[in-house]
Amino acid sequence: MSASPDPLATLRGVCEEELPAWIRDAPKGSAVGVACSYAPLELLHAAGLVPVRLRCPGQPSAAADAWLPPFTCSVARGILGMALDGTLDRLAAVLLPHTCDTIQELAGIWRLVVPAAEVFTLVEPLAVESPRAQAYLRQELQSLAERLQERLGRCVTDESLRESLLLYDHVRRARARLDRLRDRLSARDAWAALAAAWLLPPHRYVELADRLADALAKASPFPDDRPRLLLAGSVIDEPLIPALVDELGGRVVGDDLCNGMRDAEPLAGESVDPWDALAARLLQRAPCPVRHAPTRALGGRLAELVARTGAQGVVHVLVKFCDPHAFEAVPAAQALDAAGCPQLLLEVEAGSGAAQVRTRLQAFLELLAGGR
Amino acid sequence: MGRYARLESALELSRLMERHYAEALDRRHPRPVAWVNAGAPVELLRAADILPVYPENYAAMCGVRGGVWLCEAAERAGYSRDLCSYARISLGACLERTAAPYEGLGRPDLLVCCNNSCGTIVKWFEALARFFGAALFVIDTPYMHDGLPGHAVAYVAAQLEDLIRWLEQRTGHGITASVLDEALRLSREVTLLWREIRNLCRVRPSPLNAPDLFTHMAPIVVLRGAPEAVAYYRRLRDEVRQRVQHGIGAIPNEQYRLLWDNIAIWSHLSRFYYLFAARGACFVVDTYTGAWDAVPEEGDPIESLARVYTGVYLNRSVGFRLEHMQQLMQDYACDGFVMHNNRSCKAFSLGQPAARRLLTEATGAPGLLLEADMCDTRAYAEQQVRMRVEAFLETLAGRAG
Repeated sequence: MSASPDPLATLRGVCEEELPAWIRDAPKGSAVGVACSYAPLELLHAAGLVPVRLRCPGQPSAAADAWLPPFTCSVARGILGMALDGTLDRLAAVLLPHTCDTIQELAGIWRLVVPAAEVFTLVEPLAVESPRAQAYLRQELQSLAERLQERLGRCVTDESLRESLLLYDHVRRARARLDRLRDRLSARDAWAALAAAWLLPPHRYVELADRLADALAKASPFPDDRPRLLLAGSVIDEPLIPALVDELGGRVVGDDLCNGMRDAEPLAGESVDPWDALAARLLQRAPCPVRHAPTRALGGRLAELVARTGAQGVVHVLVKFCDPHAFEAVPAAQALDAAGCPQLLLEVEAGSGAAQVRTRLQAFLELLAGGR
Repeated sequence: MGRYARLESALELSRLMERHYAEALDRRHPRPVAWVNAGAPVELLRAADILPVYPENYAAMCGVRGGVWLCEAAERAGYSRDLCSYARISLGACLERTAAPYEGLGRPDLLVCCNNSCGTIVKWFEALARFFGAALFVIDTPYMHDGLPGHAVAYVAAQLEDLIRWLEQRTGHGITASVLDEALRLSREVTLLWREIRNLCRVRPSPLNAPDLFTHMAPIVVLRGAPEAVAYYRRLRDEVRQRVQHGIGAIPNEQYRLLWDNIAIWSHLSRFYYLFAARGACFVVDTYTGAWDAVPEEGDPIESLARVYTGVYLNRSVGFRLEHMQQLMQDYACDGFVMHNNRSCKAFSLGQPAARRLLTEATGAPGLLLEADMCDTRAYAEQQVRMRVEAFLETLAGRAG
């Protein structure tokens, strides 16, 4: 692929497409849709596949309404809708890792209502701090590799996995570098620059992200006179909230989002056994609230991130009907209260419009500006 | 419910459950109290001489009595109204202990939960553990999309070994093989009795209706592995057998035999099911009370427990559940089915719209998908429910012709 003249425009553009345009031009059968940040991207890449995150960047297609109850989150409705209306036909397969009850059930529903689809599952450990988790996950990853070979004829070797681990470490380094340069990006652009990592082939993303970071390193930071926010929560699939932060005079200094920085650490590193390295990375990353990780709860992590970034407030984005985040929002709010950090809980649904979000964000930013 | 035949065992059931709750609240007894979920391997706790107490059963009981005020207490503390109403009732009862039934269930010394029913249970128990400052052990049973691989059995078995050591550290005494064998023997026996009772409903007229099973399932949940549960279910089995021998049906004039899918609507246990019984429709089988149907096999007790607790109904794919319901429809000669699309239980409910369509295609039987909630009456639209049930029953009547 040739280099884009403007890396930021490319990164922004891919976040606005329902399914990235590059998939149309790629050989059929090379892209795999993944529905969660716990998907082992490295393993799919090592099998010669290109993982791309499935998401719902706007009003979900109505195609799924006949197959899912109304109390299903818009993310699940959106991606099943795309499977039903043919948008995902160019994918070789989809991988639904074990995450919340909704995504878990979605795998079975998908197989029933789109029988031609190749739906892979990966049942990752829930209790990520259990001493038993690593050995089990290693075997589960190897089982996935066997199924990829059996059903798609794709082979994962130790060597190909090792190379893919290093490549995705590079992706995470590129993301971390952009995260450190947020002070030169609008909230909307920072969101897009990080979210695009889930939507582009890894080499392409690294090339664009590095070029963008090089350019930003030479630029001056924006004036530091706006209220500093941290974005937290499940997933932000559309630019509405960061764009409103920009418009209403705030800035985002960090995030703990599913398609943001939550999984950026640790790196897998050089390893003798790449399977162990991949399993360890998945277990040691900052856990999604769906995981049982008593020593690494969201609240403590947010309080630490607030202290590190100097954020003055946290906007906690909750996708409606996302149960793990709704449960975790309660102790997270308590931890932030204890740290003296103001917070705003924003419940959203994809494509649900800006009016209420705008009003609440505006009030929150005014509150923070008044407290400076 | 007028002519609805009440089981004589119901009185003994009330006594048994009263004793259970009294024991849970009696802080003079020396046994530690563990709050556990319905899918936890309770045999290990019984073998460790720990008293298991069930917030899910407690929430269902509050649901029968009217649990919205407890849901609202949890909502005031920040828990979303979209979350499971069992969890909200349980957390609300912790916050409102002086006014809640049975003092909000007292307090646990420790907590044990297993995610074989859903992920929600883990978040709920984490919240309870935080509230009481009590230790929590979580058992992770991998979801069975495509069967149960050997590495998953080994993973669960290893966690059960860890649980034994964790319990031993807390009680200060070991779990002996003979005590565990006895708990497993009792668990096996009570499960077989429960299976036998449910199987008796294959006859026409069915001796039991789903509300009977919902009510009498309590001991299989909270007293599994205890001798009093075996005694109770022997008595119930004998009573149900007598009904079969004398051709006594659960409802006066059984005309339609139905399958029920999902958790009961506890808040309307009489009124809702009466809509059906009054028109001769009996729920002869259900997928909810069948969740306690798996019998631990002989052999290595830990591996047996690992297989039983991983293989429970809700830990299996929608495709498996669809085939299971198809088999039940055939075995129990059902004319139709009703699916409670339960806002509180995504694990049970998300696959139902697909399953309803495919089950009708496979069996030719009509199905009703009804959105409600197991305990939160704010999600129960009385008039709408009545109209949809009547339309469904008219469809059944039209087919019977």
